[in-house]
Amino acid sequence: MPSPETDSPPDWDPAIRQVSRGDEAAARGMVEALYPQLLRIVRSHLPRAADEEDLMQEIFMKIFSKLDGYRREQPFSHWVARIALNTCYDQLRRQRARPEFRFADLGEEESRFIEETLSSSASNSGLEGPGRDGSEVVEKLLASLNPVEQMVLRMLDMERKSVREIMDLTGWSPSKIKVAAMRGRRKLADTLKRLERRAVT
Amino acid sequence: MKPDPHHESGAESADTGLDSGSDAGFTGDWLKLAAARQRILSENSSQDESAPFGFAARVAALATASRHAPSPLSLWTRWAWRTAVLAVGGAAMAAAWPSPGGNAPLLLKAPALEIPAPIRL
Repeated sequence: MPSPETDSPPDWDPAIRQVSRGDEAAARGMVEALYPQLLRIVRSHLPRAADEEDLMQEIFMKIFSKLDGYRREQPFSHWVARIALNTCYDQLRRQRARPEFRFADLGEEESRFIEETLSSSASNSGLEGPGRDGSEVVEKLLASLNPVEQMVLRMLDMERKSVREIMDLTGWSPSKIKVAAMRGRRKLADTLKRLERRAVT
Repeated sequence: MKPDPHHESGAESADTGLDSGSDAGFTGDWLKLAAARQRILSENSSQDESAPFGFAARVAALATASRHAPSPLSLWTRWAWRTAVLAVGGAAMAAAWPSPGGNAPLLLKAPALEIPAPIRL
């Protein structure tokens, strides 16, 4: 079974044909080979998901149900990544409640993480010891945004992907990506300003 | 080299409305927080990423079973074909069956309907 981790694009065609014919062993091999790549996508977009395994199963069931529709216009690993991203997006939409960021909930570790990170230079992380645990505050900030804004800012600002890469992965238009990034950052700017005002007073 | 109009990453955003005044300051702060979080996530991602025991077998069995089960569309198509064949067969039998009132079809025996009103051109 090919691995998506290799530099050269692996040949998935034999495995796809076997799975299409109903070969259970080939399907098992495909799950094992794709699992790490898809797990990383799920963990990067839903790092606090309690039902990670259920989500992975949902992704694989979608992949197998749509396998006959795979037209080989893009690499197989890109095609499965798009299915995983869309499933994460659906999951974010299902989590309807997007709690507003409440400063009362900001713990000591989180305050320390923000202070240490913002006071450090770009090259120096300044995150040794307990301050690291406070990085969860970034998840809280992102959780207050809508699903598109969350996904775009994660890919653009955290994973440092380009707009074109996000387009290829999600199928969204450049304008949708840029508008979501702009709106998301504005909301985060407001939240951080309030946080600074609170820290001063 | 020609610049890629779609290549836009993080703080280099050209048209996301954040390259002026206080927004630029915020972008720097946000990008620092995001980068620090990403670094921590990457360091933690060294944990085992292989599928849990039994996961691949369970998913493969489910997927194979669902591929064998007929989809609603295929069921509908099958029944639609059967109904169409029955309808065509029925029509053919009705046409071949001799009518009780002679050889002429019933429609030809119907009285002619005339409209008495003159037609103005």
